[in-house]
Amino acid sequence: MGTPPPTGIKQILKEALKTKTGMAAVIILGMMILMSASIPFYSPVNFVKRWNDLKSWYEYPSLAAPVWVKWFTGTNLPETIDLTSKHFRVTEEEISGHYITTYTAYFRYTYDDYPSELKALIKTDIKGKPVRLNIIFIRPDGEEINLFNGLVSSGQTTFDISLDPKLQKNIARFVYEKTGTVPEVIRPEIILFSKSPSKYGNEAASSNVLRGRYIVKFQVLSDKKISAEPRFIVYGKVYGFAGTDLYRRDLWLGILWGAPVALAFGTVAAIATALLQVIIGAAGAWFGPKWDELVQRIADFFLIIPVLPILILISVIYKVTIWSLLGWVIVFSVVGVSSKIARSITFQIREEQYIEAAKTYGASKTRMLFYYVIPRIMPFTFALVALNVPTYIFLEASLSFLGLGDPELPTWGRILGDAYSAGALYQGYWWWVILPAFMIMLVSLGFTLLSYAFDKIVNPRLREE
Amino acid sequence: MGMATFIAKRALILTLTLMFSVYMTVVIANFGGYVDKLLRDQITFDVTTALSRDPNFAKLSQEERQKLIEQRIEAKIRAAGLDKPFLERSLIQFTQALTLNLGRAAFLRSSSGSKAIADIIMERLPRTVLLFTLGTIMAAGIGIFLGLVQARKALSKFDRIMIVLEIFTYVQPAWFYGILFILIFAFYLRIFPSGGMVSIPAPTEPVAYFLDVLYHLALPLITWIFASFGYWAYTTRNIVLQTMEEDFVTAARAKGLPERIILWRYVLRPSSPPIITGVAFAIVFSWTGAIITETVFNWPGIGLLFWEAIAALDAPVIIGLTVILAYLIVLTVLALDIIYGILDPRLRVMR
Amino acid sequence: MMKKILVTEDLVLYYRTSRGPVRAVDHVNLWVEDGSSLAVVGESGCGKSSMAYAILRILPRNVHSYSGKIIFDGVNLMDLTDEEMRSKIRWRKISMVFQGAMNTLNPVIKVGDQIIEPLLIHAGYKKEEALREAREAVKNVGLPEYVLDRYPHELSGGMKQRAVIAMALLMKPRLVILDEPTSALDVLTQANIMNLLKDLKERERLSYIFITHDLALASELADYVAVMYAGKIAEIGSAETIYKNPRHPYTQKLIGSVPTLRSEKVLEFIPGAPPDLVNPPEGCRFHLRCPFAKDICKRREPPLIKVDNDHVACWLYGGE
Ligand SMILES: Nc1ncnc2c1ncn2[C@@H]1O[C@H](COP(=O)(O)OP(=O)(O)O)[C@@H](O)[C@H]1O
Ligand code: SF4
Ligand SMILES: [Mg+2]
Repeated sequence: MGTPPPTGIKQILKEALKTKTGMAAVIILGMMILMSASIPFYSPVNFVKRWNDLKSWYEYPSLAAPVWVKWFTGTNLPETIDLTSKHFRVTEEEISGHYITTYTAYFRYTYDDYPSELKALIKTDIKGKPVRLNIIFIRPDGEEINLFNGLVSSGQTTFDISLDPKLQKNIARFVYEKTGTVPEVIRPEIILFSKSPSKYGNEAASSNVLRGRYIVKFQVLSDKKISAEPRFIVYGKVYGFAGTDLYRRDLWLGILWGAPVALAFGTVAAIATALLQVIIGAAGAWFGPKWDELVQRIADFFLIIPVLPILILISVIYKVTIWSLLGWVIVFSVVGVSSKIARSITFQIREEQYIEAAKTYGASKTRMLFYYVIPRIMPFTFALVALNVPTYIFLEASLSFLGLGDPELPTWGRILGDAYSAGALYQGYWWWVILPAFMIMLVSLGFTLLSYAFDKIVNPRLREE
Repeated sequence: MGMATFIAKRALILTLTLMFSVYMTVVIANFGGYVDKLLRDQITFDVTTALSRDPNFAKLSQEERQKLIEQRIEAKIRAAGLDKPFLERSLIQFTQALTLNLGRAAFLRSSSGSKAIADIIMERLPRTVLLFTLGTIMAAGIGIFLGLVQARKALSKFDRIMIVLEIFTYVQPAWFYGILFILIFAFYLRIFPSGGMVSIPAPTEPVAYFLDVLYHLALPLITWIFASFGYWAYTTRNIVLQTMEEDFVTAARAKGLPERIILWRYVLRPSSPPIITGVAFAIVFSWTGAIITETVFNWPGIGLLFWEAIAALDAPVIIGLTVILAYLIVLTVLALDIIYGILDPRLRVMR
Repeated sequence: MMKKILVTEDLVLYYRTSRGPVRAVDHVNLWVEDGSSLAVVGESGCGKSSMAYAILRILPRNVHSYSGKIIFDGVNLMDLTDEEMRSKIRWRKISMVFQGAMNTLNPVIKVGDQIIEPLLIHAGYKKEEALREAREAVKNVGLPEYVLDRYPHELSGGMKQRAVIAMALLMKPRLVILDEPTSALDVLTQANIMNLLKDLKERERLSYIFITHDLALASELADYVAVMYAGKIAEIGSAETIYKNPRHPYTQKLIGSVPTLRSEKVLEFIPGAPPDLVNPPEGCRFHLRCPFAKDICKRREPPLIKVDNDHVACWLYGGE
């Protein structure tokens, strides 16, 4: 009963795309491909290198949630305010042979929450003697805090206001002068932006944030004229579409980059292993019982050895890259479900007449295998290939999750692994986990639907009559 | 072919495959001798640090010290059998492994401090069985039930939605759900603990201990079931549906047999051998645990042991684990061949 | 005139598919004289098996429509409930031998247990009595008794087919439908089974519907022949007239394409392909392949016209 399934590869693709599930799959996977194709517009060419160069991300906030969290929570969470040298107004004074250069910048702070971190940077071009630098922070209420007063040498100097104990002492002094007590924990990013001195040091509610115009001054005192590039960064608590990780990396870029890596790895692995399995399975059935026996023994072998632990072992010792991993995956999948399918179909085909006819024409056995048999088997593996793409993506993700994946490429699994080992699950850095996880799920949903669409055409038990 | 010859032939083939697999594991786990080098380094390090703490050692001259160090190292290396070439060592390990003489771990210990691999494995196995075997059985139960329901309502809207859902949930590995579930149920909802097998400190009273383990078991168990029920449902559905379309079912209908008899004798009975095989295999494979799932849930079972052994490059433990599991798998395959032969007479000739 | 054991009137069975309804049985009228055999002949895919399933009401999930009258022994089967069909008609009155001989037997149940099932269920036999009957029945089809104790895979194709025939005859039904009972067998076994069927026909005085794509084979057993084309009856009449004096152009082609008796050949000599049953050609379904096609053939479907004792659906024989 039932009509025979279409056999041409093109025909199957065409029919699969006509079904609703097929269309949904194409939309999802098309989005992924568009995302991959958009990468050149979004991210610098040397992105892969930059992703691993943690120092290059210093201007991003650490562990910032995605920007859109604001819309859901209704609180206006702070975004990063980056005052670069072009924001600073320069005034110069000369007093008895000394030059005082003052760089002044201001910013408006209207958010409902404190910044996550503060940093001041200065780059000077003087040679030789260090110069004296004074960093002054003026709040909307007119309070003036001297953050730093001391010598800096040439080149770039970074003041980690939130972490540097020397600077924290200055802030503690400010609190002491206001309240007569010294807070136990000094959190400059809170104290400097807090309304009431009584609550200094408490990570208090948004009502306590002092909104308004803040002024930052860098005063450089030296005996010659100098030029300097000051910078002041008020790190926010939200950043970009996907937030940032502990290492300040923009997760959206990592997630974007994960798409082509995952698609390429999954697709190549799935197609390559399916082809190999089909050839081996079909060859076993085609060339007679001895070959078949050999293929069956290989299958038994892979049944007995624990493949994943051994892959993990290999990754531990050899430090795989994504391409060597691909190689190992192929080695470990020479036989599998596709070879079983190929085997049983080949047995059927062997009985058929036109093969008999081809034999009498004297076509060579190997030629027949590749020209008649394998093309006829392939359609039956389509559904499996589509399903294996996410399986291989997850295999890569598993290794990356354990920190054993490609050491260079940002992959979704690696982002998840980083999140896991940084304790994201137990600290609630959900965006670090949910977003890459969502991407993997989207891809696997796309391929699941595609697989179902293929299966419906080839497999009569799914065909919608 | 009679049943006995059939079983004998299968047993012989499986034994040969087992031997080959075990030897390959020995070679891979030792990385063709790389692990031996690590062990030698370890001995050198142990000997030098031990001696340097010895006050008498410092009194010796430079030359004497060097000599003493070399002697000690050599003695230890010989005691460990590391002086023999790798080929010979691999053959020794191979025979020991085959005879289930698992020996001692290179680095790892059981929580009671034993270095005997059998102790280490036996300490972990029950925990893995508790989580994964139980989970597999429950997932298979739920899945098979669902699959049967779907087969009855084949191609209905329910069936089609379930198929996509089942394939989709099955494609993602359990650890992946694990991290999501920990985030949702442990961190946000605080319904379950985020990992481990018992609280720290563990309750001393047995009932409390048992309940505590159950409490810790719940989330990983749910995760495992969620990640695997789809496979059972989908396969069962397809197998049953395939049987339902066999000519002999149509013939049974033409014979005027009541639907109940058709369902049991003509559909479920011929469908059961492949499903039973699948369940049996899954149960055996559940003993290998799951490396990443156990890591994510910090569940101290076989999977985590595998990971610890790999991370420490503890070849004897890796080999020991592999061999035990290989034996279990081979025995299962044989047992299944026998059961299969009884349940499904077709196979006796087909294999 | 003899009594008609079975008459179908406007029997319809369409299947629902994504491309539209498949008109596998499309207003089929045929009849079987009591104690005689009717061969239903046609290319594969023309709806022969569907017609058999329609008579026994063994329908797949995707039925689009199922209607008409099936008058069996004076009763319209369409009026019976499913339960009545199951317990009163199937196997007691009408039994069937299926196309795929190899797969008609449940592989995990012993042959004997399968043969006696209808006796236990329909006739309330004890197992012992039923087995006694079964032993008789297998002897009757030339099989040794021990086959009852075997699993299907332990028998050869020919033995299985004999067992299936024994099973079909066990309840002494009034009508046996044989759906290509020999097409899955090799030539020698095929001949043996044909001889058995001829033999049984003589001995048991049964009515048969013998379905085949092989006109030559049909001639060995049939008293009457119905030629089916694309879900419809093209011609129905006594075997003699059909073979000696085929009227329908399609039947003529069929006869012409049979080189010898007992040919193995599939009917592939007629130019053109059998029509798609989802979108059958308008008018006469054969007109695209018919050398005598007239104008009217393209527009209107020919009715079954009585010519002498034969019935033909062709505009060459009247109407209009
Ligand atoms: N369950 C079904 N669903 C859809 N189409 C079917 C089904 N069963 C049979 N068909 C189609 O109906 C037509 C008639 O089939 P069948 O009765 O088996 O023909 P025959 O027995 O003459 O070879 C064929 O085109 C076949 O593909
Ligand atoms: S009706 Fe017309 S087309 Fe059809 S068979 Fe007769 S002559 Fe040919
Ligand atoms: Mg048929």
